[in-house]
Amino acid sequence: MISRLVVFFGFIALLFFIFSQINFSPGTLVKKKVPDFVLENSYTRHYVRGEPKFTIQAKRIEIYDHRLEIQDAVVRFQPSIEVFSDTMTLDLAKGILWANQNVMVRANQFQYFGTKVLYDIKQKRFTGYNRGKLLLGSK
Amino acid sequence: MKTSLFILLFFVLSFSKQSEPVQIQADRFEVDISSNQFIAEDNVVIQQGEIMITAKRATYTSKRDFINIDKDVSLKYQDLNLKSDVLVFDRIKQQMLAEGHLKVDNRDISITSERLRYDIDPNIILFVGETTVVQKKNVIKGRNIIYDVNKRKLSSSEKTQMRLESTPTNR
Repeated sequence: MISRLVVFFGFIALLFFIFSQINFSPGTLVKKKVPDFVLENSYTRHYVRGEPKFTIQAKRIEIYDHRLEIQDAVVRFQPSIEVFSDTMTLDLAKGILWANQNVMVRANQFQYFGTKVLYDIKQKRFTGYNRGKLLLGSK
Repeated sequence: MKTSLFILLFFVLSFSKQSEPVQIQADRFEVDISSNQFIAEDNVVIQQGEIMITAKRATYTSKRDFINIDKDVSLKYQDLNLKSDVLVFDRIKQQMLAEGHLKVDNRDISITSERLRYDIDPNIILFVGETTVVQKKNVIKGRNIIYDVNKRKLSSSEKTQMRLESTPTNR
């Protein structure tokens, strides 16, 4: 009887030890690893909630729900606004575009060169981080 | 016929004055494409040809084609160094207006004033308000002084008095 109790409590102690070793991390959102679709050497048209359409010409686009991971691309907004970059993330739900490497933004009167740009599609505004260069053309 | 064509060409060339391209570098930019406005902040460097301006902030509005530059403004152009709190660069007129802790250095001449208007093309500066010019041991004080940078010549309007205060050399 005593040996059974020892085995039982030993088993409970073992379970307690195992569960205590498991590190439960807080529920962080993990990006989906596998894309829903992959497009290569593509030219696509997009819309963001009634806003004027824009086009993406890219070497590779990975589509995850409302998020697009884009490589070697040019995104053309109307009228005559173009964003070039090696890597971009387009959040269609928020209507924002992150351009991260070798970024060039070309608009009516100027060109911007940088390494990190956040472009707001609806507001037609962008923020350039990490030091950039803006060329203001002649008027 | 030839004369009229020449006159027409002259007028076309005189009135089609274009602003030169400007390169602006900064740590952070906020750009509004729809209104063609931007704010450049921190370690701002503005270059147009030989002109180089450094400051902490620059804002641009396309309506008037002005670049408003403020906070620790420093301008370098050929032998000229200008420091001020605020500087407005009119790209169309190629003119600069500066004020606040104003100081201009050109070789051995040092000028402090309240405000200035700098016309880049003829390279002439109009100092407005109380102005002090120091050249070696000589001190000139006056109001509304015009400085021709190329000729290194100082002049003043009719109602302005210039006072030369030479400091005797100690021997």
